[in-house]
Amino acid sequence: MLQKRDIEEVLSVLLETGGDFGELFFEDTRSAEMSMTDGKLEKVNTGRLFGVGLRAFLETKAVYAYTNDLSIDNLKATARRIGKALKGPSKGSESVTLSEKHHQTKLPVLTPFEIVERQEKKRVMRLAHEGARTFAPAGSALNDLIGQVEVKYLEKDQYVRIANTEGVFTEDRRRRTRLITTVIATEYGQKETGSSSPGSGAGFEFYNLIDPKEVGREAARIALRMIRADFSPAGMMPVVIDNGFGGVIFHEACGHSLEATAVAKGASVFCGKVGQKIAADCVSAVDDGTIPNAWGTCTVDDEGMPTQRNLLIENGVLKGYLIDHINARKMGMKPTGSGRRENYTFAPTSRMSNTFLLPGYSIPAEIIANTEWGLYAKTMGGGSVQPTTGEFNFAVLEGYLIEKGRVSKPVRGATLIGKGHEVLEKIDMVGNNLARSQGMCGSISGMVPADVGQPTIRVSALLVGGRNQ
Amino acid sequence: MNFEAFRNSIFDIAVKKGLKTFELFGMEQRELEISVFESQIEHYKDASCAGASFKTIVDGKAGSSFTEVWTPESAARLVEDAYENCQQIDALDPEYIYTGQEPYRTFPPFADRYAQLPIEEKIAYAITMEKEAKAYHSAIVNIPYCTYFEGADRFYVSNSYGVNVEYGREGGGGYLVAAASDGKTAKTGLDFVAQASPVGLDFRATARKAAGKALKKLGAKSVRTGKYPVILDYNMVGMLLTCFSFMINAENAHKGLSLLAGKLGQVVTAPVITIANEPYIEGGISNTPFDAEGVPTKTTTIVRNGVFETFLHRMKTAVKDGLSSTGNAARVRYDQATVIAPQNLVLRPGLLNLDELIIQMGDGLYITDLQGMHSGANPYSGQLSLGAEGFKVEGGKIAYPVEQITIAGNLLEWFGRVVDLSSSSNLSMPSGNFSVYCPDMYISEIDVAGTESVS
Repeated sequence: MLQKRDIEEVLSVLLETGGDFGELFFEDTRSAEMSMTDGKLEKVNTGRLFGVGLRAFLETKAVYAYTNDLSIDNLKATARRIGKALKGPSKGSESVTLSEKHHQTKLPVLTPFEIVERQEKKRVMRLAHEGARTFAPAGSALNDLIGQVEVKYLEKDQYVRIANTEGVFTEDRRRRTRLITTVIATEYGQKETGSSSPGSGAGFEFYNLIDPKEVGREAARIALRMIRADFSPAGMMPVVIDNGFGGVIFHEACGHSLEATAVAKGASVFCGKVGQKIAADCVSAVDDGTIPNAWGTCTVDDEGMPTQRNLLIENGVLKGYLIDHINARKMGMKPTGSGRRENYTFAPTSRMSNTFLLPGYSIPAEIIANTEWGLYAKTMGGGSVQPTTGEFNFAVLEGYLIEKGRVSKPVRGATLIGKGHEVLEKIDMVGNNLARSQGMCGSISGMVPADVGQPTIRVSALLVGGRNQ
Repeated sequence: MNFEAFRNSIFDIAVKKGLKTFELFGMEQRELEISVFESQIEHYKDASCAGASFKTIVDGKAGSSFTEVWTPESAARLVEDAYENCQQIDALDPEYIYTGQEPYRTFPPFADRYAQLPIEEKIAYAITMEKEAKAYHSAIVNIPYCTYFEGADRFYVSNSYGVNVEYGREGGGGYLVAAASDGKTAKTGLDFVAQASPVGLDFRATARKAAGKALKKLGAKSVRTGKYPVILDYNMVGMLLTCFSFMINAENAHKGLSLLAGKLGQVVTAPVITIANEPYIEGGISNTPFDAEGVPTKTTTIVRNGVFETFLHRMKTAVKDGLSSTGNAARVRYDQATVIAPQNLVLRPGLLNLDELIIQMGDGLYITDLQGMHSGANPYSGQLSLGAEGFKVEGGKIAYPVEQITIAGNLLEWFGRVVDLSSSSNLSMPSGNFSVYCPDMYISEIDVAGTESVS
């Protein structure tokens, strides 16, 4: 473990060799991953990541290094090497004084992973497996369609210590766990999948709050629904997107384009639009890294700044961006507690935490009833976006046709594409049933856990890709 | 502590604990990344790390654990954790450790050529790339990403049967995204270059390609929903082959997760398709003489003229099928579990160049970008439903750029409808932990959805 005085010395080197700001990020993470196939535990991998990331700025230039040789000599040599890469004026001796600050944790834990036996974790996985296997009655034709059930249990206990030359010296401990169940249904040589993957920024007590069996049942329900579904029709149509993971549409269509990573370079469709109308009146959205025990929550971000609730859009008007330290310099704006990274091997950048559309006034049933014909996207898969152009896409895992104001037959293979800034203006109904759901978000600072969320919404016209009828 | 010393201390602990069968996989990584924006260094990353994963097998059951802390205390915990992990396993198929009976092919020695280039030269490469892209045309307004990168990996595999091998490899290159604007809309173009040796890297050509791609997309419109003949750019073919690699994985087949399970010896694609795994490609960045289990790598033909010949294997799956491992055990890093993956997945090219292929198609779409592979491509079902961009082809010529369309279908059905392949064998955009070399692909018919209404 690095001591305060060592950290101060390393940070001083970053200033002496040319930086005007230096940062040290220390990480000690223990993780476990267990995989079960067909009710049998197949793989268990546990381990420890342990390393330091060093970063220095000179104005808007940034340099980064990481190493897991934590000897003070190596850290100082590494600091010197990257400090010099800034090509700033070398200064005489610079002293850094850190004052430690603790923040009330936003991720309190009742049952830490290390006190739970491996058998107990296995039992939770078995429950998910059983839930999937018993969703359809044993011996029924439907039950025979379930080809395979895969269950994954993940836990991560990340301890970080962050210090910088502005005197920040703090720590955070983030424990997270997730239960991922994938069910593969097979019929006539075709396969379809269903999955359910709840997670939390909590300890093992999470599995008392959810019913692992229900996780398996939900995955089985989707797979069995989809295996006999017709292919989705294709073309422009109204799309009703259900609550929870449906929020991935906002995450992709808008969220990424509000990250300073894109905005600071003028590489976002939302550059220079704060205060302007960018969405329909019924659209309000936040990114809130403070929700206790949420999947995307941190007590402090990976730059040591306490997380906060950031209002992004209010009644259709753009209110702000998600900003990390270096981009705050570039944009002349304040950081928003949004600096995140997968681990010490990545330099942090602005990222989403728990991002969701705020609830409106419509009752979900009335949104469907008001739609003559269209697609009902009940469960979404992942997606992606090109922030420069706003072009996004995402997959519908479980879809249905809406005919004459009613949900009719299931359809599969649909994908939704569009341009984020155009879609935001086409959201014409927002439900009152906000829910959040867990995902992994990928960007230049790696994969980070992030919640997406929304109430049920309707987009008046969206391009649905699928096979033709 | 170096790998050898760490290994010795771990193996001592393992033997004292009474373990008989075990293996240590070690890896050292070095990477350098320089990103520039408006001729200034925007981001600079200079890094190294090392770690190891210990695996032990007791009664055919394997448990593993990894660490980045190379101390004696850590070694003891590593062995203990791996042992406890293997106690939990209830899978029935036994795991194995390589006994080392086959010879290894000799690969060129690790030269660490990138590390020897002066840093100024590397910064200049990135700046040159950005300048060249901007100078390409006045409509190139921004270069949001422009990066020089290099890396070197050293792998070690040692086990209780006396296997003790190591290999080093390196690679470098650059990538950039160029943004073009006509004042109304923006379009981006991405290109990259990567090779094992820094000699002959042409950053300017890469920059021009990215800029050209963005520029050509300006003024794009959608098309009518319908069925179209399609030529897929090789980078997109590479993405499809990455998805296909899931299906040729023996582990997935054993679990009933692969559409190709039970199809050995059968016709699974059009006859023009021959796909192989190659452990060594001249100038390649994914070459390796042994896999993550220490087994010698080899050339394996997976699909020959449309007929499915073999899955890719590691020790466990090969023994189950009564075969020898194809040498395809893979680990992205020591903290990841062992999986099955190719080293270089190669789709054999055809005879015509791209222009001739476009003439052969006559009318249809030439697709240069696909979005949403990680969500819209389902490797279990083979279902694909993806956002796409490219060009409308009319009368054997590129007519106009196309955007806001989707293409949908099933991977195996598409591979079944391949009419022809272009004559080039290109390294496609890396999207997995292996390389894919492939030509452009002409498919007779794909479902396309667009926003253009029927007139």
